[in-house]
Amino acid sequence: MTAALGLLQEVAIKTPDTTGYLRMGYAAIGAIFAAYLLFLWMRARSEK
Amino acid sequence: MSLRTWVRTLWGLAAVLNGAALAMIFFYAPVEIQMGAVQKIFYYHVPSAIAGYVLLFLAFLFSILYLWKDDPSYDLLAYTTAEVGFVFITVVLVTGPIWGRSAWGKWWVWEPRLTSALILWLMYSAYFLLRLFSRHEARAARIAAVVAIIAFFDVPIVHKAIEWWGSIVHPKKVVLEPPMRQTFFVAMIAVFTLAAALTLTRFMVGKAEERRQAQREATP
Repeated sequence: MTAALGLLQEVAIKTPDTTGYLRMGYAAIGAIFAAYLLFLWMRARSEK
Repeated sequence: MSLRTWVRTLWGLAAVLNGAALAMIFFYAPVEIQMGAVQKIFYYHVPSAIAGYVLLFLAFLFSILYLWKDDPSYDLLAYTTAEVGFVFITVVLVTGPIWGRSAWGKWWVWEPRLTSALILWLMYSAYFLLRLFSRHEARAARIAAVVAIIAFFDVPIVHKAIEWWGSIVHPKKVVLEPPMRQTFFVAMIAVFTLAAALTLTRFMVGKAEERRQAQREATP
């Protein structure tokens, strides 16, 4: 248990804290484009 | 080649290029020393801004042509390019604060570039609200064209803001290492291909809506 916690702590220290913001940024980009594509798809469907 | 085939080809290219760009961003481009991994937002943030500027410039041109020629095709082209451009400017305005929170410790700073970019976004929001809620379509299209022309004048202001008024957060010049430059180049092509695919798809949807509207009007 102590070894596992130690390992986690080591990984957490080694992982730059900016990685979380990087993931957040690309998740936001994906969400915006996915939302717009869904909007286009719904409009196209309503015209069929 | 028909428009549909063009759109399909562009979507295929966009998928491959964006996949390649993301692989290069996460596995090839080095981590910037000062800002850390978050700097990699740059590879979509900047190309999205440039793609947004280009699309809004096209909306500006098509709006002028619509007012001049009074041809509804130009109105659809203006609406299409403005809408897709707005999506790209939204990407810039969302990713900027995420990057800023990590790099500067603040989500938002009222400095010239951020403020002028927000004003740009608000002006195009007004453009879409005008089109959504107006009862007189032809009149709304003409007023919207004027709004799109006026709103575009904010684009050079956003671009030149740092040069004209300085910035406490944005650098005046960015120097990239060769692997960063290569990644940026691929991301740029990927984002522009995506912009083209989205614009043509939106144009096709607009055309289908026009046809449906004409059918409705023709039906007694």
